[in-house]
Amino acid sequence: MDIDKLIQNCINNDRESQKQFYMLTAERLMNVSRRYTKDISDAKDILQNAYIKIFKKLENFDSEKGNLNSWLTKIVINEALQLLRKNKRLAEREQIGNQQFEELSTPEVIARLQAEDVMKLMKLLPDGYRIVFNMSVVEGYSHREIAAALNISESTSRSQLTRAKRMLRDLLNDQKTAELC
Amino acid sequence: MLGNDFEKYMKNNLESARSDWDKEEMWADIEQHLPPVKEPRRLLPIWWLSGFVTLGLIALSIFFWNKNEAYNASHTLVEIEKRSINKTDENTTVDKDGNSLLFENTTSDLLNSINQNSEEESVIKANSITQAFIVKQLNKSNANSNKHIVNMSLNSSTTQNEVFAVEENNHSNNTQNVVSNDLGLNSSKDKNTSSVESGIADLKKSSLENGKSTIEQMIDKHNTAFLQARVFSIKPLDGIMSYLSAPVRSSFILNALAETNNIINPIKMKWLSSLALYGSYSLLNRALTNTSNDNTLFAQRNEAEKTLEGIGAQLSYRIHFNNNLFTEIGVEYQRINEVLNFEERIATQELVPSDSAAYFINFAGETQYVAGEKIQTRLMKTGYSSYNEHHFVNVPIRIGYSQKFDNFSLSILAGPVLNVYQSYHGDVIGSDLKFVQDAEINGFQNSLFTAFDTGLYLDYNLGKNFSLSGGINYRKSLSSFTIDGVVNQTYDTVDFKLGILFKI
Repeated sequence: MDIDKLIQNCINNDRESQKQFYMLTAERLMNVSRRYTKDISDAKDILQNAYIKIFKKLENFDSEKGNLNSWLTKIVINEALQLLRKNKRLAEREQIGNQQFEELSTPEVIARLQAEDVMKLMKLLPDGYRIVFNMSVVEGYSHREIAAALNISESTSRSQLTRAKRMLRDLLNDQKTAELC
Repeated sequence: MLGNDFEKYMKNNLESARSDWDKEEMWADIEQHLPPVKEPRRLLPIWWLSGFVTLGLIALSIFFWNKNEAYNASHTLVEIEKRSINKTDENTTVDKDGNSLLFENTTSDLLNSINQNSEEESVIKANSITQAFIVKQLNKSNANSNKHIVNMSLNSSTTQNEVFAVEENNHSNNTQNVVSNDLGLNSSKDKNTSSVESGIADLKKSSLENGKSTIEQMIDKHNTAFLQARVFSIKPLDGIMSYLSAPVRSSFILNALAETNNIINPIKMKWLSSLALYGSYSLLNRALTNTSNDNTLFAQRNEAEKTLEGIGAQLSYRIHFNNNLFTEIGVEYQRINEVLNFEERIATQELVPSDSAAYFINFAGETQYVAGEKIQTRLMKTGYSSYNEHHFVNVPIRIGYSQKFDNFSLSILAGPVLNVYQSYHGDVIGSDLKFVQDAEINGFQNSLFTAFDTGLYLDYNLGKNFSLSGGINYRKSLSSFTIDGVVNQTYDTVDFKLGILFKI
């Protein structure tokens, strides 16, 4: 079944089509959700709420205006941010100047890392760092968009990205040290 | 270089990470929050059912149409009744020349002759009748006007004798003229009312010569029979009363009283059914019923929602079983307007900076300061006012009884109302007491038999085919519906209707 027909059936509240749509997209969206949370249960809550909204608002989706994956991802991210806002204020009040990211000197360590290991490393980041890193590096949002979404300044967004990268670098170095030992 | 590679590497890994979680379990949770799946629409079977009922009623009307031998005059059904005429030797009437009048010898021979020539019979014995008419009606297919009335006036020395009869059908269209000529009608005059003294004189003469009455001669010549029609005054009945049975006598008297001296044109009843188009304005009485233990939403809706009015249109097909009894089936659209005045109250909590502060050492080993925070509760009130609509498509089926009074007709109708479609457009108060904008809910009716109608209508005859009709209808709701799954609602309405009836 082509995706347009599937979407139309979902809009018509056809349960089988809705489940099919969910099965097709859930893995990727769960991945998105997990990147923004430390806890798998939070990720599930986010995804569940996101799907309820997705099915409710699916009729508003216009394939001519945007990609379906981007639209779905955006809803999940919004849900994630909403949940995180409840738990903790995201905005860092400390202004940190832009710092140059030092090149990682041990690419072989990185190469050995598997996807799940990277995901685990991400969980070690503070919420603010992790969110900005995800939005910028993975989702490709600009600092302007991130600032608007998180209600922070663009400079804060930049600094958090820088610090997220640096922290990841340190974590990778620690992992390398541990492996060498 | 590594900066870009690092980002790309991280992106790829993060996007390819897989999670171990129970998709089915989550789907079950999601499914609980999705709108319930609608039951298969009953619309199609209902329309089929309505179609069959309509076809049945049409077939019934055609059946009655073909069987109906009734005639309508001034919208009064006139039954042509069979009469038996007894022989009489008395009551011989003499004309001014002293000759016996035409119909004095209406005997059993005449009746035999009539019976042989027609499946039906009847001639009014006219020996001393002071007035009567002979009326001929052509075959059914041509019997569509009063052209076929032949009014034969017979002058006697003392009274004017007329016979009024209706010729049986199955004869050519020319019969009228033949009869008219026989009777000496002057074609330059109104054939319906011409005086035919000379023609009658010839017939009388002939009658005396061959021993047959004028009617007998006419019957012989045209091989037809004459049926008795109505007599229009009491006076002419004087001479024949003794030959008529009591019920017939009563019938004549009643008819005569009703139609004194007026010739009723025997026009074939042309319509047995009619189409009605009505517009309506309704006063509403809404009742809400709470189905939940929590009456918050119920109370809120009771307070916030007010009914305004109903408007509608209806197209009906009416079939008359007889002069009084009829049934009708229609399609009706009704819209009910409501107003919603709602104040939504939302309490939100948010973290705001406080005078306190904290610091910690982060993963990078740096000291990071975080401003102090406190929870602040904010109550936000938002007022909403909106006009909302319920839409109904109904099929009312009614039985009616009407009584005619000159140009007016008073009807009582009653019957069930089938609801085939229902929808709601507008804003609602959600089950979480939040304002939901532009809710559109379709097909949520839970009962086919939704209401019962009782109505009183007054029709005014505007002419041959049209009547102006107005009435008042009370609709009692028989089933409730809900748009939020919590509060059931019903509408009893008083409908003021105005419309046009078109007689088919």
